[in-house]
Amino acid sequence: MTKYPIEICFRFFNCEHSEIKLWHDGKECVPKNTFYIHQANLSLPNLLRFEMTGKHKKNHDTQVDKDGNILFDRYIKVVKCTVNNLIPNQLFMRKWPLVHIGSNGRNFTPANRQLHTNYIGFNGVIELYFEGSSPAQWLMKSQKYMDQGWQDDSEHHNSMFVA
Amino acid sequence: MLFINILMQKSQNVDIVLVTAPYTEHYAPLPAIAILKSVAEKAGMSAKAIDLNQKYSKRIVDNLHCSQIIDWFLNETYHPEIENSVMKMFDDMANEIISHSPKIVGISVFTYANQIGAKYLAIAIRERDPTIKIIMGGQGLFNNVGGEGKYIEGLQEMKLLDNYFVNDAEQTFYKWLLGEKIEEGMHHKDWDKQTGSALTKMSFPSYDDHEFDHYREPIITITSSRGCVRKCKFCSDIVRWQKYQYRKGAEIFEEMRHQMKKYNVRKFYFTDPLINGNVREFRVLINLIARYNRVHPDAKISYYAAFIFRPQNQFTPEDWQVLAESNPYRLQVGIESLDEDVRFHMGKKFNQADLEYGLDHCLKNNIYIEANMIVGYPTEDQSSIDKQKKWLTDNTKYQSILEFGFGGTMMLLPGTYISVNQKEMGIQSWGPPYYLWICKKSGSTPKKRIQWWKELMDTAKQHGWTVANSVENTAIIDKMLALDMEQPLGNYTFEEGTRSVNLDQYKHDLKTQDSNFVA
Repeated sequence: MTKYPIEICFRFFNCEHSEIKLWHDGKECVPKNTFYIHQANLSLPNLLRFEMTGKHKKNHDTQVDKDGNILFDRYIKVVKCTVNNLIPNQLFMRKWPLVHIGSNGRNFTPANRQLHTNYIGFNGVIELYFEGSSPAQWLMKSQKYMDQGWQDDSEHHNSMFVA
Repeated sequence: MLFINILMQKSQNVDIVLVTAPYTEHYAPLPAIAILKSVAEKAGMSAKAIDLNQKYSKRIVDNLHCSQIIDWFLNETYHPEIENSVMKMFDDMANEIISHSPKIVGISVFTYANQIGAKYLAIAIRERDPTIKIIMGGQGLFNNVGGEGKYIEGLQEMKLLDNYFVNDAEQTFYKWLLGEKIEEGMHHKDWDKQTGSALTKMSFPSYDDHEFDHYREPIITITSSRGCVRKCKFCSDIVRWQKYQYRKGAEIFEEMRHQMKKYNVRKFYFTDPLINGNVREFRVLINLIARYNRVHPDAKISYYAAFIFRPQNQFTPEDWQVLAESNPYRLQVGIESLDEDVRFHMGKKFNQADLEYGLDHCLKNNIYIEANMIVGYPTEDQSSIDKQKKWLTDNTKYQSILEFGFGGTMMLLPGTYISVNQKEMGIQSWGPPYYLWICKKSGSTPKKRIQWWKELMDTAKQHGWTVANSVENTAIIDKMLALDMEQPLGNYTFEEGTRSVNLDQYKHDLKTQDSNFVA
């Protein structure tokens, strides 16, 4: 089965001096200059799971005003992904990752609370599903973002935005 | 023996494979690959030209989901029902290219409608053989007609493109093949277009690889000029070709004779925006063809060309007669509107009397006209649609020599006069797609334009006119009909970078500077 080079770029925002960590397959993904780039050769279709841990309310990882507006946040963002050098549209990236809020990587079970976003603001498992059987097909499918209802979490969104 | 020959022919190795990227509706060979094949051979390289656009057009048009496939080629919209057939199509194309073991593949991107096809073709080639150099050329590379495009930047970032050519690539491509260092014409948007004399010195296109059976009929493409003598406000051709350049009538005729002798084809397709931009040279050409046709009554030359109607004093009754003898089997004329006030604003320089003078001579001399129409030019309103419906009702006498194509309604193409001056014209736009605009002065909206399009189509059909519409325009109309017109138009706009990867956003996210809160 053909394997394709895959590269996923995570960016850590304001995570210095915090306990926030990213994990994959039981290993810590340590950022360098706020970026962690995950490289792998994968057959398609495939699924990768990462886990974010260490975000705490008590450490003021998220600060909100009295109206609930976020003033400061520590988070990780999936900022880029390439499959065999192919780059999907940014608008796809925004809603491609599926975050299982509160799930853990070692004994993974899907969470009741799930969110499609590349803004990882909660502890939990991040699923990246690579659809299609070739990079071209993956790219073609990534255009689903044009559908207005694609990965629409709007019903839950408001109640879930506080870590 | 024949079988072996066919096999050998199929697996013939060449230095360069030149292909057209699908999809654009075009029934004659697209000329770029024929011209560049000739250039490559002049540079001492072996080349194979494959008109993939034509070869696969039947598969596209005959597909049950033709409109969805065309929508995908135009916008990359995901339609699950076409996924397998589209992927198979690109596999087949890439396999055919690779079977010739080329070192270089040149992809001709004719219009922006070919961008998606070119991208997926490059992906399929890269996946099979990353060592092949992929080069592209053609105005379709640019998102903004005539300007730089993010499309190219995206392809380069994805390592799908080794080099690209802008504007007339004939001279530059030749130098590049010879290994010369090229600055002009490659990667330079401001590179000057070729002069008229350079056009004349070009080698004749080579159609040796074209399988004429794939076309509706054997036909040779030919170019007699570039640019236009008019400055129509909606036109993107004049953005690309800002200066009108023409070849001499006698030289064009020499090329026609050369191709007739070589391929035994007497039917020609002129690619020019207009064949009669220079009336003096046009007279020379039609007289030469007419003379040939008189001598060869059973083997006449015939041709298809775009033509402009002119004021009556510029083309005499005798000219019309010679034109008829030169045997155009169809002339495409941008009549655009049957309301002369609308035409006047466009920059079309013929009034209603000139139009009828031209049509009367076509009727008298049996010259068939294919009229291109624009529905919903920004100054057009219900009263001009009503005038046009009346014209269609009152002038059925021209039906034997005149047909209409009502297009896909007015588009505001980037770089055109209207697009640049939209504020002054009271236009607000959200495109692409380029039909997403309104005009506050005339009250024009997509909803109204679709309604006008229907009214004109229905009136024309009701009165027995022949109405043609391309599958591309049908796909656009289908897409417009699917819009919920009660929603704000901004909801339907493609965000920047939809047709190509917008690297700006990525660059922003990948900047190494530290940030505070970024939501």
